[in-house]
Amino acid sequence: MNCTGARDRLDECDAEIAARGWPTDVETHLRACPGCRAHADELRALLVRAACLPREAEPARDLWPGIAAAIAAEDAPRSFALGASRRRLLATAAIVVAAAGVALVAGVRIGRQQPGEVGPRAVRASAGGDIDEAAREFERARGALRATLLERRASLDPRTLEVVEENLRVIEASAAAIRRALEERPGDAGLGALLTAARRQEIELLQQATQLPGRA
Amino acid sequence: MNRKLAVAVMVAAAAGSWAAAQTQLNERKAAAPDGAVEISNVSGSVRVIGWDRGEVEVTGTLGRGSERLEFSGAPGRTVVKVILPRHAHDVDGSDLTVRVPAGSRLEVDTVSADVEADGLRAEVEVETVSGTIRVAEGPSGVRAASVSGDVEVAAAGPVRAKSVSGTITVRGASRTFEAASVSGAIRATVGTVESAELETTSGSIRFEGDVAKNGRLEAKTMSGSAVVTLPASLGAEYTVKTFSGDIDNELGPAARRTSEYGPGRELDFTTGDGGARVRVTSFSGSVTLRKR
Amino acid sequence: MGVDTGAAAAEATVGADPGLLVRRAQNGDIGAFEALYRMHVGRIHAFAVRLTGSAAAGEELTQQAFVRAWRRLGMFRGEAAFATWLHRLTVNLFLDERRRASSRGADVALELADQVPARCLPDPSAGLDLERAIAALPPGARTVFVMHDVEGWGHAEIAATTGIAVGTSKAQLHRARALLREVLSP
Repeated sequence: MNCTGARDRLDECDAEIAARGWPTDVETHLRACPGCRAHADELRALLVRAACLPREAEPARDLWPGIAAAIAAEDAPRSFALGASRRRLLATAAIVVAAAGVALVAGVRIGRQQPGEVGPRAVRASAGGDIDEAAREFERARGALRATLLERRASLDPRTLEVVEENLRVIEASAAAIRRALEERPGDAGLGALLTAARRQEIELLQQATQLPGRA
Repeated sequence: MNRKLAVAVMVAAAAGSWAAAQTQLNERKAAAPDGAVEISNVSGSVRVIGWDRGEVEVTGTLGRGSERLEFSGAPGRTVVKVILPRHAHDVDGSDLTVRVPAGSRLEVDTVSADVEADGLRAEVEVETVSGTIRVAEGPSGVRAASVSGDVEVAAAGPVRAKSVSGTITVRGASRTFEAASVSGAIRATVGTVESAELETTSGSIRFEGDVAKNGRLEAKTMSGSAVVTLPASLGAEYTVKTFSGDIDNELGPAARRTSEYGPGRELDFTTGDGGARVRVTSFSGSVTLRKR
Repeated sequence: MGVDTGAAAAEATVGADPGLLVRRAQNGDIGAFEALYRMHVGRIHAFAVRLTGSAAAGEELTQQAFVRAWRRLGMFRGEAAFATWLHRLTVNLFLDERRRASSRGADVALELADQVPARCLPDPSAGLDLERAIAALPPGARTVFVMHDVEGWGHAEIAATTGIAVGTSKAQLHRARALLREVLSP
């Protein structure tokens, strides 16, 4: 066996063979050829290390909420025509946004309370819980819709996709500007309402985008 | 084949495919005077015209590459839908002119096709991504939403108009309306409103009209300017606010400044019997109240 | 459809029969599917991160893979293990994405995409670990290496799943190993 033949044979080996010992004919060549021996040793080291890599790695965050929501959006019919199903879906989005609205309004109210102000602690605590829950609900819906959109990207008309993405950026920038304004003037109910409106537009745009007719 | 002949054949072939590209439409179907008509078209245009016949008529052209026109339904609900092939990559827009009984409820859905509706009396609902929407006066209610296209609406009944970045224009006798955008401007040139809400994050607002006794006008923008033009005779309670912009007020000689932030930032005043309520706010833009 | 089925999923995970979970999920039981997700996400995520060479892209691929799995559950006939099926689906999704992402669309098979490495191979002297070296491989070579040498697939199986020829799979593996040896050898 020459060097080329030996290296071709080595190529066909996997970690198990490497760990157990090279095939006899290859081993015979390796004994006589220091170059191929070095090659084989390196290969063995690599294969063993690769096979020893951890086969499991939990993601840094829980991906399930996004998956579940994307599935929920998927399961809603994607038909393009206006119809009862689509209205239902939009109604779902409206509920989610309404929840987010509650969160924002409540946030505004609480934001207004000065640190020294005395408020019924229990009420504040429970409002806080609701707000967190509503905000999470909103983020879940948003994440799910964004994931669905991402998945459908390739099947959408590029120009339409560009319009959608450009307008998502417009909304994102607006929301960021409102948040900055809220830092300057915490508790401003008008700004809070605008933020809710921007978020509602975002959810509605995402809903619309995920239901666009696909090309493939 | 000599060259001349080859060219002639190519021209003929091109002409043939051109004919195939532009399918002319001319179809009719009986429809109830107050039924629903659903229209969907991806790109091109949709023009809907109300007429006094008991039928729906579709004319225009079906774009090259479209599979077919679905024209179905019962008299109470007619569906007009441009069907694209499953793997539609290069499809030309379809231009549809749809005549419907004037009392039909209309639902139009497009992606980039522009939509125009004229001569309708019942409710009109239009949704598009990048198409423009124009609904002429007449419908008993309008809901119009575009992502980037401009929206121009007039209606006898309530209007809800939305766009992310397109300009929204409300005209005519609309007495109750809501217009909301993110970056698009909002313009309203109307008669006497009972309830009007104009809301945008960074777009500007222009309102010109009147407010009914006990009516309500609310204009809200974060960074755009707001110009509200009203008759000097209007009796209203005004609340005008801006955090860092200016207030220019032609309407309230008797205005009281009551803001904790100092002059020019918040202004509450009442004119006449104060029956109507007008509230105009901008966070960083200027607010102008003008006399009509 | 309710999606808040954490309790059901937790209950289902404990001592559940995977086959039963698959059948329940196939019948539309999202709680059972969540349990399957919890059982397999570690494997699929590790696989996805290695295929994509990036933590963020790996998360996204994982998410998309499970969404697609739900959609295609009806097609799972149980001939292969559910885990294998999920792996295949993940690699196919990854390859679909790559084909789409490639600027001129359609026809980028693994072999063509590799003419230019995804990024420069790290400096050998830096002593980078194997994971980082794998991440730096050209995508086609990386895909085959991860499937063959990390996950233990055969060339025939790789070829059948990805649509490349067996010879291409072998060539890619050869290339990946050569590049990795170069990077990792002292």
